[in-house]
Order: sequence, then C-alpha cells, then structure tokens
Amino acid sequence: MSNIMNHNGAAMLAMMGKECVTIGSDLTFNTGMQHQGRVFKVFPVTDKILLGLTGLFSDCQTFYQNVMYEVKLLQLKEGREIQPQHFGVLVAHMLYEKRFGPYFIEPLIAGLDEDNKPYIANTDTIGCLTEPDDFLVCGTAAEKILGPAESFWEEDLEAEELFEATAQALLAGIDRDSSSGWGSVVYTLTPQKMVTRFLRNRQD
Amino acid sequence: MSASVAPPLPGRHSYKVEGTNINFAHGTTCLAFRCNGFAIAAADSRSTQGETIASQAVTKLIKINDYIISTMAGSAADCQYWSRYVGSESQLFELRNKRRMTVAGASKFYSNILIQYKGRDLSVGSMIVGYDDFGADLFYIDNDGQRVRGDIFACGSGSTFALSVLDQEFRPDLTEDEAVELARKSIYHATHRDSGTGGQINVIVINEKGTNWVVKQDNFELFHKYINDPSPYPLQ
Repeated sequence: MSNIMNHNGAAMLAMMGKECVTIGSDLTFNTGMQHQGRVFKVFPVTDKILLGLTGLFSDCQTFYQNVMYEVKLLQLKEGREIQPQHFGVLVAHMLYEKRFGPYFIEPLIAGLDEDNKPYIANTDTIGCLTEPDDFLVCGTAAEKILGPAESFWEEDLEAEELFEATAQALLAGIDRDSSSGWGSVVYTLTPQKMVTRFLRNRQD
Repeated sequence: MSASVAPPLPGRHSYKVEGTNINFAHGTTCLAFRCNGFAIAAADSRSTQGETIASQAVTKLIKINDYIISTMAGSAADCQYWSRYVGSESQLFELRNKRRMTVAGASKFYSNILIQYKGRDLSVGSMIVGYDDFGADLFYIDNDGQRVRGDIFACGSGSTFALSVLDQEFRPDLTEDEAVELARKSIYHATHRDSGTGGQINVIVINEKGTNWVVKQDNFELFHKYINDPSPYPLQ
C-alpha cells in the first residue's frame, strides 16, 4: 500500500487458447486501503487487440491515450490495422522511452493477428517484453493468480473452456488479495467476435 | 562510536525481530456499544499479512467469561493469551469472593497487565464488553495503558466506516433486535469499503442472561440487502 504500484490495486490474467485469447480483470479502484469504486482496466486498441493496464491508474489512463495516438497515426499513415506482435513492440518502446522517469504501469496485451494466431504479452514498467505461449498474470494479485492459472490452463483450449479456466483462476486469486475484487470481467476474443462476461465476485 | 548511548537494560529491550510481522489482525473492524439493559460486540473475520488475505475465518470476539467479551485488534497472540489470562483470573475471583468480577474490574485488571508490559511491544487494542451487577458496561483498553469507559467504540482500519453507520442510527433505547441489525450493518459497510476488513460478520449480545452469539454470517449474503449498486453492468 505504501508502494505506488500497489496503490490502486488490480488483478489481471490473460490466457492463450486455440484461435482464441481471453483477458480477465477485476474492477476495483482503491486508494490505499479504501475501495473507492469500480473502473475498467482493459482497453480496446483494435477489434482484435485488447490492452490491460495495471499499476497507477492515472498513468494507465495517460499511457492508453498516448498509445492510441500512435496506433491511430499508424492506421492513417499506412491504411492498415496494427498487428498484436507489432503493438507489443510499440508498447515496449513507449515505456523504454521513459526509462529514467517511468510510467508506473505494467501492461498486458492480448490479441489475435491477421491469421487468427493468438498473441499475449506483457512488459515491466520500463518495457521489457515477454511473449509466452500459455498465460500471463499482472497486478497486486499476480502471485495469487499464478498458482490457479498454472493448474487450470491447458494447451489448445477452445474459447468456452478457456473462458472457464480464466474465470476460475481469476476468482481464486482475487479472493486471496485484499486490494483487488469488487467484481470482475472477462473478455473472450475469437476470430468471429469478442464476448464480454461479468463474474460474480465477493464484494469485500 | 557514540559513548553516550547506554546499553539496553536486561529484560527491558525490545523483542521485535526485524522484518517479521506478528501483527496479524492489524486490518480489522471491531465495534461495541451499550444500550439500556444490554451491550453488543461485533467484528469481521479477516486476517491479512500485507496485502495477502491470510484467513477469512478468524474469531475476533474472545470470551473472557460467561458475561464478558473482549474484541481483538493488534497482535492475535497477545489478545488471545491475555484475554484467557484475565478469564482465568476472573474465575478465581469468583471462587474466592462468591460474586462475579465486574466489567470495570476485569478491564482494569487487563489494563494493569498491559501497563506492566508497556514499551515491550505488546500489540493490543481491545474493547471489554459485558454485563454485571451495575448493568451493561464497556471499556476501551490498549497497549499504551489507555482505559476509557464509553457507550460506543470501534477500532481497526475499518472503524471509520463502521462508526459512520453506527452514529447515524444509534440510540440508547434500541431494542436488542434493532441493535443487532445495526451492528451487522455497520460491520457490513466496513467489509465493503475497507480492504483490511472482510469475511464473516459476527455479533454477540450480552445481557443479564450472559453472552449470546446471534450472528455469524458471510458478508456476501448481505450485499444486495445493503448496497443499492448504481453500476451499469450486471453483478447478479
């Protein structure tokens, strides 16, 4: 709570499946030990890329605005949509640009590329990119979600199964973290559509 | 090297080990209040270590004897051990004197122990609630040696939230049912808003018949009863 990265609290999890990705997050907005209200922490970038931001929420908002400026500029210049892999590098570069006065954020990227190949990535505060092929955790509840995620995730899950794994891991983790909770949301991204589902969380 | 610093006196130095955290119940909400003919003690059940929830099922209302309850905030071990100690002494008192120890007496006895250990890192913040020959009584005591009588107390990280609900509806002439409901509601709002408070809600009524544990309920059951949630998305 004295750490600026833990001030607002968050729980976030992205999983990779067979031609699908999910990204789930809690909804709480804390200041220190007080639950102030609910906010959305996962932001749309394109139809097939979602950006989850944990850390200091004011930096999350600023960073999202700046990253969207770059994404839209590229769209206008090149007349094509940015791909998730490309977007991951963009985010890492934008964070490293502020190497000596960083944004206090840890972003999580989930998307499908033009061949519907799933992509998930995250970086630390200064833009060290990691691109695994299973799942990623982020936020104050990161360590608490990691265990459940490890046991629920399997290779080549279909969209519905992947949602279930994400939701279960997220809920289990949130219930052990005092700084996250107050409801959560899971986005399931498939080649056809994006599905948004809200989860029934404890409210303490 | 500074020669002016005296070495710690034997048995008077601090036993705190660097990097350890023994104050399990620091994030908490306990409340107690006194009405005509009875008193109420209530608490949540969450225990945190840093941001991690260590347990959601801690009993923070400790029975000192059949007529006196102490609430727990601070170090769980300190509160449990000394409450039990005061309890055994109150039973001996009863055998020796053929009358029950008063709430004032028990709290004074407890407070005297805490004063003896002052400066040696005991961590206790407790409300002593009970019923004796003079009626319902209530004291707040802590490890600084403070001991205050009062009608309403709350302590812990969520106490501000609990008090704002409690103060709104408290009257000395509440019925037992009304008082229990008020205690439940006060603790509930603390569980909702304070990240250090959560789990179950426990409420104990103490009257001329003794202590009666009337509420032991998960706070989530009460969400829809108390919170008129204006959120635009479904939470079921």
